[in-house]
Formats: sequence, C-alpha cells, structure tokens
Amino acid sequence: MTHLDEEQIRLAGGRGPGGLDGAARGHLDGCPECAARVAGTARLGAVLRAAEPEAGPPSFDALIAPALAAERSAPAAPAPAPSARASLRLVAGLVLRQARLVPRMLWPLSAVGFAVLLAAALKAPSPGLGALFLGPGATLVVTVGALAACEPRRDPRMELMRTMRVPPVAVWLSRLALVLGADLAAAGAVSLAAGLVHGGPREAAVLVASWLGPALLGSALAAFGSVWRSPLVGAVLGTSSWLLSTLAAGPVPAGRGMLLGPLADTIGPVWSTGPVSLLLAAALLAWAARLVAREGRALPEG
Amino acid sequence: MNLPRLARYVPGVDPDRRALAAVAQGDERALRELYDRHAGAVLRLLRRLTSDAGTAEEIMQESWLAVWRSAGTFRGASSVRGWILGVARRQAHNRLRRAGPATVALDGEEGPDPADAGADVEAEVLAAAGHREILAAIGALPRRHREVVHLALVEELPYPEIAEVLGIPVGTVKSRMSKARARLAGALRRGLVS
Repeated sequence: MTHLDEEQIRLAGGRGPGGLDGAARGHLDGCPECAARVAGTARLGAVLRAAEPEAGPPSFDALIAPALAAERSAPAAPAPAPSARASLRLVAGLVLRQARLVPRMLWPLSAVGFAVLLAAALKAPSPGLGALFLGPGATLVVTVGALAACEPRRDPRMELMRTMRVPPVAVWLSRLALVLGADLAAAGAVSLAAGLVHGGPREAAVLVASWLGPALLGSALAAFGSVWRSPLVGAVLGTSSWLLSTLAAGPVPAGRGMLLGPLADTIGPVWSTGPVSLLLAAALLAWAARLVAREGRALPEG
Repeated sequence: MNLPRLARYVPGVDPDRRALAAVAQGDERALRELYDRHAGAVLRLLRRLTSDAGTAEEIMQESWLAVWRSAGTFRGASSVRGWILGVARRQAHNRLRRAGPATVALDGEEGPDPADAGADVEAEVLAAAGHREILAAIGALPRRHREVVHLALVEELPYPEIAEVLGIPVGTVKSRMSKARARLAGALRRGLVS
C-alpha cells in the first residue's frame, strides 16, 4: 500500500498503531519512513500534552450556573433595540468585512473588466453602439461577481455559524449586497461617463438600460442556482441568462435583437431592462435568501 | 445506586449527542454533563488564544452560554466536542477582535513554505531535541499551524473535525499539519547544529 496519510500518522502517533486497521499496521511495520513520521508525531504530542497546565477549569457551579440562572430568569422580552446609529455601524461593519471574504482576484478582475468596457463605450461612435458592448459586458461582470459572492468555501451556512448572534442569511445578504452594489455602481459610473461624452443624461440612460435588467436577472439566477443546488448550477443559470440577454439585445432588426418572431416577443421583455426582469430578479433573490435562512442547508462544493 | 438519567449508557447512542439534545430541551443537568466532559479542552483552547487567564474564563462562560442557547442548531456535521470547541473559538474571535490586536494576534503570519527535510530527519531532530527546545519551536510557529497541531495532538480531534472547528477545508488542515512538522524540524535542526 501507499504511505500512511496524515490522518493515520496522527492516529498512530497519538494512540499508537493499535488505532490503525490491519493493512496500515502491516505497512507501518515494514516502512521506516512512516515509522519515523509516527515517532516524530508521537514525540511532539507527548511534549505538548506534558506542557499543558495542571489547573483544570473552574467548577460548573462557580462559573456557569450563576450566569445561566441570570440568563434563564431574564425577562422574555427582547433586548432593547439598538439606536439607529449603532445599527448603521453594525450593518456597515458587517458589509465591509465581507470584502475580505470574497475571492481576492474578484476586485482587480472586475476593475479591469469595467475599464475595458469604459474604453469601448467611449470609442463607440454612438450610445446605441456603445450599448452593444456595455450591455453584455456589464451583465457578465455583475453575474460573475454574484457567483463569486456565493463561493462555497466561504459559505456562511456552516453549522457553527448558526450559533452566532448574526445569522448566516444576514452575512450572505451583506456579502451579496457589497459585491452587487460595487459592481452596479461601477457599471453606472461607466455608463454615466460614456453617456456624457456622447451627449448627455439621455444617452447615459440608454446605456444603463442596456445592462441593468439583464445584469440583475443574471446575478439573481446565478445566486439562486448556487444556493439552491450548487455553484455549478448557478454558473449554468447565470451563463444561460447572459446568452439570452445578449441575443435579445443584438443589433438586427432594430429594436428586436437577433431573435425573431415569438421567441423575441417572449424573451425580449424578460431579458431587458423593465418591470418584468426587475421583479423576477427581486423574487429570485428573496427565494435564495429564504433557502439560505433554512437550517441544515449548505453549499455543496463544485 | 441510581445513576442520573443522563449518565446511563444507551447502546448505539452517543452520550454527547444525547446530552446536547437534552440541552436543547432546556435540561441544565445535561449542560453540566457536557461541561464536566469538555470544559478542560475548551479552556486549553482559550488559553492558547489569549494569555490572560481571566479573559479566558470570561470567554469560557460566554461560550457555554452560547452552547446553551444554540444547542438546537446542532445538526451533527461534526462531533459534539468539535462543535463545542468551534463555538468557543468563534466566541473568542468575536471578543478578542473587539479587544484589539494587542491582546492576541488572530491572523497567522505568512512565511515561505519550508523545504521537506524527509521523515527520518524530522524524527531524528525531534528525538534529539529537548522538551524546552521543542516547545520554543512550536511557540515560534505561525498561529494557524500551532492551532492545528494542538487540536490534532493534544485534543486528538480527527482532521475533518479540526476543519469544522477552524472553518477551513480538510485539505488545508492536512497541509498545515505537514508544514508545521517540517517547520519544526527545520527550526530544531538549526538549533541543534548551532
């Protein structure tokens, strides 16, 4: 067999080879390298255990019982609500802290994406043509951001997180709000800058309309898919949404995108900026938040 | 002699899980039972996170109250012991982060990964070094490595449970343990040579 793995070395080093199965014990008997690792681990463990302080913990009656009695006798009424300022500080702290919990490469990649989009939108001869770049581009960057915010390795729905005062759903919403807020603000700034160069606020509004609905719907689908099934499902839903919005926003025929006939009539209102896409996005995000709030659910890897 | 109801052994039922389920129902005796079994491990963990004994006991009290309040959220992703240690570690982080960086360094310092000296060399230097040298070398490890070493070798938690306590993937636990051993061997070897 192959060498003992880390867990087997820990086990044999802590409790002796008796804790291993027969094959592992047999390997250990004939493998000087594994025997050396086990001996080193055993020596390390023995030194550490010998160095632990003799004094044990205080008794339950001395340390816990009085505090527990106070907690149990406390009035059932909820604690007084914090002031508006304290609440604002807490929310701001929670949201800003999430900046460290998204993948490190997300911020620089998003910045590069928006810089490229700004350059393309500024070089476009008209706002309509600029929207052809900005719409799909901004939708893609915002959707990728939503996917990254739902990364399973930083899933706040670990069992232990449910013991904290701030529930996992608040952490998840804070993270999504931070990433989506930053991406939407950047896309808005790009649209405003390009719109002003091309004429004025009206042109800027055209550019914003090219991505706002599709980006929100795409990111809501990506987030929903991630928390409902897996990040892979979220990525498939987000990518499909992006493709549909790109097809719906194509240049021919004018105003109808690349899709023709009934398909355009169906997809157009959903994957463009309008009440349907915005309501759908809000409903999907609310559903995703509800899933996150449910106990016993956590993101699967992959 | 009549044993307390919770202390009776029921085949096939983990006594810790049974006790925690009783705590979730508001049974204070069950909390006492868990305290008697695991308070030592919790206190050791907290004393490693803060050098101040008074602070450690305060966090210990907060941790057991959190166990009391949150017992109903336990779903069995780890052992009860691992779950309780995880609760204590998160309480400590909350408390010590508020207290400021002077109390304890919560984030491990980064450093280059050590070269693998080989198992036989590791074992040789560990065997040759004295207790004091080994403890000094462990004290010089980055905190994230030291934490894994203590949970694995003092608390004897399996790696999946260490991962649960620390909120990191199991693979990261294994690599930290392996790096910790290599760093220790490197530090001790330098000490033995010089």
